[in-house]
Amino acid sequence: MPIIAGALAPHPPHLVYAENPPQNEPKAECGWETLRWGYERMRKDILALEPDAIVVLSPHWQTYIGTHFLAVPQLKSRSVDPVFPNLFRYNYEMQVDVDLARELESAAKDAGLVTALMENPDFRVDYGTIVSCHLLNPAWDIPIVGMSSCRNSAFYSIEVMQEQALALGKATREVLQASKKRVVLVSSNSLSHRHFVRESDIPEDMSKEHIMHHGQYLWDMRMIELMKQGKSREIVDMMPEFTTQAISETDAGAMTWMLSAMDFPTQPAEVYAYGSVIGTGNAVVSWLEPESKRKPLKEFADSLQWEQLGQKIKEGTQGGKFLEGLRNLVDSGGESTRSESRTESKKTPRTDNLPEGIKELFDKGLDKSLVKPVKAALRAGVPEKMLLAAIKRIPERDHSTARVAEVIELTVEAWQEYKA
Amino acid sequence: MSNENPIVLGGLVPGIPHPLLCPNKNAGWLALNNGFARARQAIIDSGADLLLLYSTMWPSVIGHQIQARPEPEWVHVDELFHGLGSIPYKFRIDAPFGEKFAKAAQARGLQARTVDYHGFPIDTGSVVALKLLNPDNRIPASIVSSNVYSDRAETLVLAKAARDAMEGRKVAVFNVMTLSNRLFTDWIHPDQDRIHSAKDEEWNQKLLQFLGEGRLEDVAQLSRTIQSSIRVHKVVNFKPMWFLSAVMGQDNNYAGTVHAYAPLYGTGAAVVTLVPGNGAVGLKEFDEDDVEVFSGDREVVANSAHAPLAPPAAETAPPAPAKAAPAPVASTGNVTVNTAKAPDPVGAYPHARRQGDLLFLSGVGPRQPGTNAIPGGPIRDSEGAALDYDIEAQTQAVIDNIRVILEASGSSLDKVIDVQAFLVDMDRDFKGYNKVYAATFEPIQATRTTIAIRALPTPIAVEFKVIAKA
Ligand SMILES: [Fe+2]
Repeated sequence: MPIIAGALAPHPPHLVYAENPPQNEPKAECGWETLRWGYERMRKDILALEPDAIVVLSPHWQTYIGTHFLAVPQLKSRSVDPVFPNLFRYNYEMQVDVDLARELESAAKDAGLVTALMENPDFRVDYGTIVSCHLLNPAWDIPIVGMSSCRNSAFYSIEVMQEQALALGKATREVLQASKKRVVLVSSNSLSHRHFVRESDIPEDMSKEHIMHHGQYLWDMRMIELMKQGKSREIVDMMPEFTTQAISETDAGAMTWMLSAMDFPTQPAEVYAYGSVIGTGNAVVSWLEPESKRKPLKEFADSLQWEQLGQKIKEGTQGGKFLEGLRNLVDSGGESTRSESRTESKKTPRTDNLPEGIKELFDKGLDKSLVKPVKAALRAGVPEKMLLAAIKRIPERDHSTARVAEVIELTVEAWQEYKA
Repeated sequence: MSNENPIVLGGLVPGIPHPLLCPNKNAGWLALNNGFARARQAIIDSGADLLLLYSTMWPSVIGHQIQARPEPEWVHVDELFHGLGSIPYKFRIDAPFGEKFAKAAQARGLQARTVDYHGFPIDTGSVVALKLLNPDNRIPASIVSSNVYSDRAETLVLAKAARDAMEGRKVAVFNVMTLSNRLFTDWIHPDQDRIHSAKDEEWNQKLLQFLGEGRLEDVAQLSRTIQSSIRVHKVVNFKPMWFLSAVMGQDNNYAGTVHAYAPLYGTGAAVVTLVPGNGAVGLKEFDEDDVEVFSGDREVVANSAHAPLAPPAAETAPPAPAKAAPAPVASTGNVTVNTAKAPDPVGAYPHARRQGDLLFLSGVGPRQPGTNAIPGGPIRDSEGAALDYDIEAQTQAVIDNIRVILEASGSSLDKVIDVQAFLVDMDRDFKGYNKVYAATFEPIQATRTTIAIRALPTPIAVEFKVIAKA
């Protein structure tokens, strides 16, 4: 199953602003926590699936002649929101999966849609794509395929827009089904979408935040309820009316495209959060493909690159079990109940007598209190490469000292179990 | 409008990038490029010291935005025609004018702000216009956005605010816009370019005839018809001609020149200049949209034909309300203030109105918000028979209501500057009123005038009219 998940990932720049990541220039005190915390949970679920690429359709790359696909391998620039430049001035650097972009583009063209590849290296990626991708994966270490929103709703009608999005979804599905890549599809949009036309003096003043209109709220709840029931076809059937009545940002076609590409999932969607941003209604939702929660073991072993354990692990049953166990340990990291730090140390320990690769980790800022457990692990006979691979596999965003300590400890346990 | 017209030239130019990036691929695109050159010469001849652009390709949501970065520099790529190449630019922006314009707009009740950020995405239309109209940054420029929701009154007030800021300047003002705006929705070879439909072509010709005759206000008056006839509805209305006419003086007395007209990927693109005539006088009928100050009550959802209806009822949906409720909108920061915490007005007036640094309150009585009960009792019953009442309680209730309104307006009692008090029975009530008044106002030391009057509109004995610092 190459499509491993779909995500409704709205892009109000306010959410990035309130999070204060290093890439964004303006700084906030707080704001929109319900949505941001929901996003954090979705991020965890989706990244745990280890996607190879994120394919995102954004309403703010508006094209009037066909659907366009980013097709430059690396794009680096500064994204300034034209509407809220006071909140969002973000320096980004992204990798684009150009091969996948080209495949998607040619499939869409073969399906009779108007298309274009965006090959200009000076191009600035729209802020909708940047916001959604940041909120899903702030480390930016997964390649992106960016798709534009072809605004047929303006030139023809919402119904034409819908048909086009359905066809684009079908073409996307065909490509991804034949692909080995594990892909997350992202519909970058709010639900109901009327802004207040005035901004409060403190943009993150939450006493001023509420939905613009009760009718919009009711519509949003109606759609979310259908998502929770796994009624994707009903959602798509209702989309033109919803878009008109709730003045929804689904007018970009992103959500119809995503549900069509996922062949109208019937499993209940996971709704992480709903909240208003300057009056608009926003839901953070995922559709996780049940059978594809994790990478196959062989891929997992490849990703660890354990030369020392090598084929034994990939082939042997016992090795497989061991690997499964270790993967669980590594993946669960600080989430288990054993997360309290056992690594307190008063004086700064020496790292110069450690193997080079591990010493480097400490040079790059790994907490020195971890020297002791690392040395203990090495003394216990854990291969250096295995220890290194286990630590490096902890996603950078979760790199707390407690979590690293725990992974070290669990690696030792796993190693001893394996040897026994 | 002032008799000294700061506008020395007006005009319109298209913002689609072909005349800049590939003029030689199509005779019409080249003609447009040449048209730009003639408009450039017209700007030089006019003696303008400022070039102001109103760009339909720069949408804004929170009021209007005005560019105020002195030297914005970037390599721009159009989001649609990125294949035509990049456009490096460095412009010279008149930041002080931008600030003045924004302040003037605020003073006229509009939401407006300047943008001064490295990397702010200046729209393709403005980039094309500045590159072709003012290639060497010979004169400084200013750019104002086009609000997607705004309609006529707001656009006229914006134009008047631009004029407020122009004192002592000579300004050339250009709209960045197309006439008919229907693009082809498939890729075409340059040779295949034509106006999208015969209907669009007829309308464009008519508009160009008007503009050639200098009948700018007539074209502005046609804006709603133009929107319904030849505009793809991406925004609420077709606004640029409202802006241009209002900023130039709302008349039909111009020397108009159509320098070029050609299809641009299906749209109708024209370069036009308008030189103001001498002693131009507007000959307009009464026009209710033509206001001087925007009242800030634009309510996009409640007043719009697009107001959302509740979704159809279903077992899964919560019960739908019989009708959509009016949208609540935070009113702090508005020119006018109304608060549910003060008694409902008994006429068409707000609780307070801010003008500059001052806050003017409508007359405030003792009635209680919500119930309309009168502390200390009414002065007469519903038949008109006199009742006994407590002036001290009424006066205290007046002061409490004033406190609530001031605080809802971002001010407070200690900022009161002047009080006018109205009593229906000076002989009976002055003493009690004066005592309660002193308890609060003694330390504030506002100026005060107390007046005896025959009656107030509800059965109350006292009302204050207050001016405070905002
Ligand atoms: Fe958006």
